[in-house]
Amino acid sequence: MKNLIAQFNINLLPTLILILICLDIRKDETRDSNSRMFFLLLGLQIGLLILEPVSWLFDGPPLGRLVPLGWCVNVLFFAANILLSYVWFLYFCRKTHTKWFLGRGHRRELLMGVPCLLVCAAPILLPGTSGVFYIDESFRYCRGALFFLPYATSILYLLVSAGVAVFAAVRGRSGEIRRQSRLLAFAMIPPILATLVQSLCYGWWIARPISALMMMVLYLKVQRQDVSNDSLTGLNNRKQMSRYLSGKWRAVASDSPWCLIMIDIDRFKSINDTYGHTVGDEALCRMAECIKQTFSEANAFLCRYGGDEFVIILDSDTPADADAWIAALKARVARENAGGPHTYSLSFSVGYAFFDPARQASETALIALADRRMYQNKQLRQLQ
Amino acid sequence: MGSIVYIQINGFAILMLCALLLASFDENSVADNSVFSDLIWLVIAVLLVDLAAWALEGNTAPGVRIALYCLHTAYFTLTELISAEWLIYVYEMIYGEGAVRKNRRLTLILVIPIAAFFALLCCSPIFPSVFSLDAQNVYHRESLFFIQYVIGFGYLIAASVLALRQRAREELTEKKREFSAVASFVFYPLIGGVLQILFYGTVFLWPCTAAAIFMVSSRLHRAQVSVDALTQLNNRRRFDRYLLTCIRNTHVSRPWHLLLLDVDDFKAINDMFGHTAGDAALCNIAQGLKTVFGQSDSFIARYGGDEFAVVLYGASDMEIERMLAQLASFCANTTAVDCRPLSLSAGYARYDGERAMRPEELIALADSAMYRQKLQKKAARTRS
Repeated sequence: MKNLIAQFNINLLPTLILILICLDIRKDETRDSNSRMFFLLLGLQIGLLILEPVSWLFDGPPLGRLVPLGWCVNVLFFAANILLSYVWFLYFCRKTHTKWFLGRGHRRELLMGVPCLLVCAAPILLPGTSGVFYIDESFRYCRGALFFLPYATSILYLLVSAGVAVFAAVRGRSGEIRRQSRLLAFAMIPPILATLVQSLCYGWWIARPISALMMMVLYLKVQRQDVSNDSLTGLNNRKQMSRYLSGKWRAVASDSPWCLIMIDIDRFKSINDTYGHTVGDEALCRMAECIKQTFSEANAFLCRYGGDEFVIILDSDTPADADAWIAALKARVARENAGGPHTYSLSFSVGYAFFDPARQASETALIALADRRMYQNKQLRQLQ
Repeated sequence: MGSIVYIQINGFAILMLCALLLASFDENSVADNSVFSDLIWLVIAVLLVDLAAWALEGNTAPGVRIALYCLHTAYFTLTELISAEWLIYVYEMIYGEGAVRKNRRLTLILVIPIAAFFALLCCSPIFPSVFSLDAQNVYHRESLFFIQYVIGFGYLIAASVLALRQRAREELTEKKREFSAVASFVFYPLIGGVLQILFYGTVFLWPCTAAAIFMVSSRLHRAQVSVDALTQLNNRRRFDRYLLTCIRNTHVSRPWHLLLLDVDDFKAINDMFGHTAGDAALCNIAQGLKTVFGQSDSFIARYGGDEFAVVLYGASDMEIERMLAQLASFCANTTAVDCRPLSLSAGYARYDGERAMRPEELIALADSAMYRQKLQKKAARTRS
């Protein structure tokens, strides 16, 4: 009974936090597969946080006399635990765009679920003292010979997930994926350590609270970030850009050069006024799509800066390199125009400025310089 | 309850609050508000003090007695400060930053009870009124123990009353929700406190308070990403999502209208009188929209630079025309920029779900109706 209350007390705040996150996510009208999976993770974790103290209820008389019920609660607990680790793995694969697991009709992904199924079935396949756990004559829960099996499987899944994240943090396709993967990889460390501590030291029930904490951090840093992107184009918004830019500004020590590219769609106002806003929005989305595809391989931060303006912060060595990227974008837009019957043709003006702390006093000066060059470019194009 | 359990409970709450502080710090959102981050710091401090007092309890080493007196005094004072900070936060949320300092009476209400309580606590070694320590340095409650609850919950309830009053004044659903969340803050520590009293030896008060802080911060974040900063109307992203749910949930018996409104010659105002005048005009129009459409079942959003969108339930075409006339007269009377009355062009489309439509189609319909009106106006002006 003492254990029950203590554990309930420990698990209360993590449970409350996760329930609040669930309520918050439910308010989102549009949900993609990623956030549905996150929702599933939350549900499983809440289930575990509640089941853990409940399982103490069946440890010894009087409720322990209901052996089948106690057995069910424990099996449910182990199953939910393993399932949670497996879903973590799936979530990591999706978030990091790990092709190796996601390709081929998800066959490899499903294959990774086999250990999960086996361990879930272990208490049924291996009853008695040789199994994962058993309930003795005084109705107490006892560890079986293979008690480490669920722990080990769970840690294995977490380690593979961490591996996937580390790999993507180094080799990910775009800067954005690398950034997110780095965060995911770091987020895996505390739960793995906590699971180890809990399986080794009695009385430290920290595995689940720490995983709940990690879910909260991921929710704040990853899931919610998706929500704050620009809703129309899915690019970063202006606020996120200024945060990224000031971070980049402060890291002067890193000597890899970078530049800020300002892009403005030509005659956007007239597209909007002639064909209506739906077409105008579509033009913005097409432009954003071109930008995303062109810069997917580059180390770049993409943002919708204002109405019809986009900003790209690109790690680039020389102006020639930046020019090459812009030429690539121009070619992509030309293909987009040739691609289908559109009532208007998309074109843009562009200007860029390299980061040079000796010459530019602030972030604003850099943006203003790029902006000025973009306008010069626009005027030149209109003259032609 | 063992000290390991105690460390786990308070430790988790501290970690969780730190994570919240860090996340909001580089998100530039809630941490913009120094009162709120101070509140989080105060709760972290109280959790640490609580933990230290628990660790030293019953220890008779020299010097411990003084330390315990200091810790308990700090604990009680911090408790009251947290309640006061919450009241300040809610008050400034309603009446603007720095409003508390300007209000003499409120400042006194905040300072005097806490100062008196602090004086009472400082006298504890000689004259124990709130708490006492026995010869073994074990803590006991004294007759005036209840004062801490009276002051603390007094502030919290006052904050809730303020929030409920403001909630009644707000027109926007998003704002209403924000204040509902703020008003419900008091329930978390209340329930936690009651549980803690009912089950002796448990720790519920601070975990529940930490959960309340998380709840409020996520609620505020949601409001921030869905409200337009200038006009305080719903923003574009919120509108997009709302429209999608509306279309999905439409029932034939409950048709609705989508209205699009566009300010005539807004560009001219901006160019001639500057952006400040333009912004003021937009705010006035937003106020007009709230006054005219706020009474009926409606959803008002700023759609783009000078465009607004309204989703209106259960109105006939005639009623809409009447409302638009009302809005036109409101604009003509109040939003004069340098003696030039403002006017709006409006278009609307009805949706009853008989034929399924995508949001873009519906917007295009309303948009084209609006442009027709705009053209008619232009034609009329050139004729006259």
